[in-house]
Amino acid sequence: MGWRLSFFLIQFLTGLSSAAVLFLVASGLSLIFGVTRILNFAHGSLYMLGAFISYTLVQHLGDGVLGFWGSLLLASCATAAIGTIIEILILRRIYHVPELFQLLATFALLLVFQDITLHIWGPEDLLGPQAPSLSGSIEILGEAFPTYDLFLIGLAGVVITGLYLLLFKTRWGVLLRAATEDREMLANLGVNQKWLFTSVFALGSFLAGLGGALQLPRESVSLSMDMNVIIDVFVVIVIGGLGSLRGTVLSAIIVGLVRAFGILIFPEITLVLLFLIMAIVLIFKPHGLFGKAEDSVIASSQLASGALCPAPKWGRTLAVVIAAGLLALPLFVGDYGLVLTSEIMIWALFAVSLHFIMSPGGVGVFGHALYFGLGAYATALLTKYLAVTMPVALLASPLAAILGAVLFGWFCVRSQGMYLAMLTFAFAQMVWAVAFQWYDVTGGDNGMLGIWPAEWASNKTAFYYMTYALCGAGILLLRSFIFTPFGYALRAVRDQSKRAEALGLNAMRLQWIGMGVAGAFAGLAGSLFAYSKGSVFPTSLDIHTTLNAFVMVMIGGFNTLTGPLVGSVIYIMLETEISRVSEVWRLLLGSIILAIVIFFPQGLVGAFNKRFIKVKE
Amino acid sequence: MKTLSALVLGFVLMAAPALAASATGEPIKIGEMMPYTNGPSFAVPFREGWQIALEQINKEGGVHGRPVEIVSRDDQADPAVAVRIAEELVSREKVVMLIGAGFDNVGLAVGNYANRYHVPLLKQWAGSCGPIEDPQNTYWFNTTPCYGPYARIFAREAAKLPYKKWAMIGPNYEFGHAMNESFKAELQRLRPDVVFVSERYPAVSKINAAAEIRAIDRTKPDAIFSTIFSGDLASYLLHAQKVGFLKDKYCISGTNIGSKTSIKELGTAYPAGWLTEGVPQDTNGLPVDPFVKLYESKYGQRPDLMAIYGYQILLVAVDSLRKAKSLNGEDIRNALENAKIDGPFGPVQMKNRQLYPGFWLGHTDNQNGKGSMVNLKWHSPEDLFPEAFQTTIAQ
Repeated sequence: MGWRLSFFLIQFLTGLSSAAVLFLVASGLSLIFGVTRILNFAHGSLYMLGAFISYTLVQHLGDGVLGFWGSLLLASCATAAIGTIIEILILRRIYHVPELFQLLATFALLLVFQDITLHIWGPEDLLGPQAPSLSGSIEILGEAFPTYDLFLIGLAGVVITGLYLLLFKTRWGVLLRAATEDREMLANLGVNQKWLFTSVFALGSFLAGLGGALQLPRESVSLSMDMNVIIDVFVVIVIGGLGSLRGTVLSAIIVGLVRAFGILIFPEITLVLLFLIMAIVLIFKPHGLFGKAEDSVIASSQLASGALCPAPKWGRTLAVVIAAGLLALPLFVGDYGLVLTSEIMIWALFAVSLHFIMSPGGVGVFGHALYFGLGAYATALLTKYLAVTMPVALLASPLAAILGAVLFGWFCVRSQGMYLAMLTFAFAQMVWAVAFQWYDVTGGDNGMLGIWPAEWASNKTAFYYMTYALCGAGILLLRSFIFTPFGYALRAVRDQSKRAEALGLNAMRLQWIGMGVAGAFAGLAGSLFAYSKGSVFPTSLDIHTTLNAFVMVMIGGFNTLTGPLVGSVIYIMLETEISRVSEVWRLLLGSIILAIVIFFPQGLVGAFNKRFIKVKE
Repeated sequence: MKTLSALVLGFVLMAAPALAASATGEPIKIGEMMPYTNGPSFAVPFREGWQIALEQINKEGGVHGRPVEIVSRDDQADPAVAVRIAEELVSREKVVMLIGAGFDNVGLAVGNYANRYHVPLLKQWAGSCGPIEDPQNTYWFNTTPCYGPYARIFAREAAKLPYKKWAMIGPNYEFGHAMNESFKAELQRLRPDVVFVSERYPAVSKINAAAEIRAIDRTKPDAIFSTIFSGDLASYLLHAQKVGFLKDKYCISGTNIGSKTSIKELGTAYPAGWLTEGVPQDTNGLPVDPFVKLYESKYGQRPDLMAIYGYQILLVAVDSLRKAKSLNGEDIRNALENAKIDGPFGPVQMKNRQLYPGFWLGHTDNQNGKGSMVNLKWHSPEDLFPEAFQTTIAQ
């Protein structure tokens, strides 16, 4: 039995060493979230920059003891400086906007940093040196274990102690904890919050940079480090409870160990496992292991409030004119024009369904791709395994999405604020991981091919008219729901949940049904998308699909009805045109999103309405 | 809604084909797409390769006196985006064939479209054998043979070695499973005494190197066949270096880690003594071809594998355009089926919709942290032909 004990011990230490790096990165993010309430996607970029900068420094300073550790330290400081600049230039301007907007702004920063990093360091992966005098291994019960990994576990212990002393034994720590508890009160006491926030951001960025730099002897430095780490780190701090240091420690250990042992026990579902744990924790502990319930979160997470008015007369006339114009479009444009317009209409339906659940529905979801992908995969699976015809698949796909919404929505509506967003994200990632790893059924990354429309709809004009009819009907239906008693009840729950409940409205059930409605139309959009492309891939379920719809709604404006339509047209046109002419489209797209969050948080249509149309209050 | 109409109008204007005909005759267009922003480390050398071929072809008078034009797009490594781009290239730009589509999933999505609309696709590289085995998918052409022949070549080399206990590690998707299983089947056929003690398939770009290495090490193999690559391979090698895992094990890499990009990317962790595919980087062994000279004078370095493939792919495309009865998809496809060119290093021939180039096998080496390839041996394309293996069976 001896070898068994040693095997488990080594596996345990392996888990702890990956937990150590996760902790370093996650603790920085958690500290930042604690005081600023921003869940910072760009934390992943800072981690990546830490690795790239330390790689470059090592090339110059050499990989001796002084050169190696000096490079790591300098790189972490440089990352802290970059973080500070981001905070002062950008994040300071968006502390007042809703949380999901902040999330999106930091994602835009991540896009910008991806292109900047690509242009400074080039496309190839880089491999740094091993750490001096920590390049070998030691024997533990007869098994070799890397000394560097042992060092990382020790270092994490030192950082935990240091953070504890900083938080509990210094004045700065007292202020930081006070800010985490109650920002307004601290401001009333005359504390300069600006610099407190900036210093927390610098510390958090330092830890992110250090985490990245410490990866040098463990993995190659690559452009995908940012996304890879940030999703793991989100999972860690959500499981631990946002803003809680001990929660982050515990959950980093849990995640590290689950990874290390999960790979032995369930090698086929490693990707699902992580999100499954996150979902389970959030279902039983809605605020993570050590997080606190906060009322302020609910108020500030709202993306839209106030009245939504039916369009004025001229607006309706204009809508009819556009609808008629689209009907006549095949007379004027070629096949590609029809294909592109069909795609815009499909995305518009998806964006409108997202808008429905977020704006009038008041549910801040961050995984809407789940329903889009469920629709697409339902279509593909039914076509491939049951050979159903197109009309049946088009009908069944929304039903599949509704089933998903009934199942996942039940858990989601019991959660709130950022935790709700993260729960919806976890569910979407779980289904994505299933589609990605269940190779025998879904084809995994190779997707499912040959999902073409029925004979009668196979020419581009016929498919265009079918998309036109279905998306048009879907958009009009969703819009009309807003002005039914159901829609008013949803908005009542959103704006005054306590009062609405006192009036006898069942808030949870209303939002649950709302998710089902939004899911159904997203599923229809997904099914049409599958037919328009002739194939389905796991990308239809991933975070980029969610973000695409999100950006579309945001460009148009959350508190408008036409916003998502305008947003989807602009977004697809920008994407197709920019990516054609420029290889820095991520930088441009990121900058556009940032500009919208900072200068037009109400979106283009919102800004237009404010300027030219008096909205009844 | 107002903005919507303005934009739709604007879009209608943009979508209207307004292509000026060039003075020296209407160019024949070929559509190209590669992940220029999501996988540029192999996309860019590929483009450098075909750009040299393009200049050369147009200097020679193009195809039937018409210049050849390549409309190049970034497919963003996203299959759905790639299908839209294929639509744009085919219906708006009127390209007669498609080349590139680097990632497997992108290639499969574009191939699915191309087959339906009868546009030949010359897929850069080959990961998936599916389209080749599908008798309905006749517009798909691989520009290298898919994994089967390479796996069998490696198995044949492995069979000559004394090792009996083999382990395998590969990425958990079609390429990894199929390549490793082909290797295993062929090696067991040639050497019934060989046993496979461990088979690991970590998730792509999510490898837990320590856990995988420990799982393999427990089974005490003599040799390892590996098809993991880039970031996963780097993590694996770094951990192996620390715990001395590979010291006493012979390794074969089914993914070509002998390319210049791989040598650069794996840096100091570059393994020594692995059998793999590569390209000679010094003048010894590399036949001096006009292409190599042109490439060196233009980019200041020797061409890597991807550049060579980029160059060959366009020669094949143009060869078939010249031989095709007309420029409709079916005729180009028929011409492609029998394409044969003189590549930079010998003849390159299409067989069963797969292009068979020659290749080098050799061993990796690492001298004081600098990686290289040694003992490279040229294999002619015939070594990869299905017949080559049938004769082995007969013996």
